[in-house]
Amino acid sequence: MSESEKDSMSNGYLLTDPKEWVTKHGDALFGFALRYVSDRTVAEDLVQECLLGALKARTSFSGSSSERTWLIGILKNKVMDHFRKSSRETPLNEPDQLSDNDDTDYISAGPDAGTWHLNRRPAPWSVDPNDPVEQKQFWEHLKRCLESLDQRLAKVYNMRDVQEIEYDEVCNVLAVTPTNLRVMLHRARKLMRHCLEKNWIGA
Amino acid sequence: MVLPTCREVSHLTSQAMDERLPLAKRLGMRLHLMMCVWCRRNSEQLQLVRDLARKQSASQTKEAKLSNDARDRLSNLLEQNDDKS
Repeated sequence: MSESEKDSMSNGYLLTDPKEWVTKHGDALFGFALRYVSDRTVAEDLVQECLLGALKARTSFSGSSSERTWLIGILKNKVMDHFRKSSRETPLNEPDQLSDNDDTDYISAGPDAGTWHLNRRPAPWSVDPNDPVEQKQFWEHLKRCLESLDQRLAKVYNMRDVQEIEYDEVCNVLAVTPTNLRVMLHRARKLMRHCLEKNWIGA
Repeated sequence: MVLPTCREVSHLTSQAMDERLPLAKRLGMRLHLMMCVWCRRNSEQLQLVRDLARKQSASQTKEAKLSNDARDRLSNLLEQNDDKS
């Protein structure tokens, strides 16, 4: 690559005055952090670390991405650090505890093995998912149901099915193997469906 | 072709929410779902729950705002540290 090409690339994007960062990007960064950690204080701390890190790394900004994208990238690293630290304290990967004991829904032996137990067969749900009132109630019940889950299950469920974080990224951030994540998500979804059926649909 | 059982279909249904299943598994699951109303309900309800959850959380994320305290604190912090450099 010639010098002039490098120049034109580095001139792609410029950084604004750091004094404006909070006004310009504060809420977006905060919202991004909240998708990974639901605690507002923790999310604020992550935004703070991101902004201070960005301030230090300012001179090495290459201009190949926008200021926002650059800041989000730094924030993502801070999020990863955060989970690396907390996974050292409470490891998430405990396959022995993850053995699938979801057999209670299904007949375990005989010619009908693997089919739904009579009283476990999913019944139709009589809700209008487009009704804003139903949606609001759904959200309240979802939060409550999440709290009733095992913490690890709640975490993976929230990241994947609520915050819409990519599968591979959830594995990465939480240091879980794809296989374990699959087992945990299946279990969490099943429990959430049961809980919502009982409390949201049945209410 | 041996069709998967309801238990197996519940695993496949969940897996299919995260990745594209291999052809044989996908076909087995679809055939089973065509014939089994319970598994079909299970699958539809799991999807509905996820769709609603994501829709609600997306609108919450959009509305997420730093508190005024945090805003001031962060602005001050940036200014102080900027002076030192």
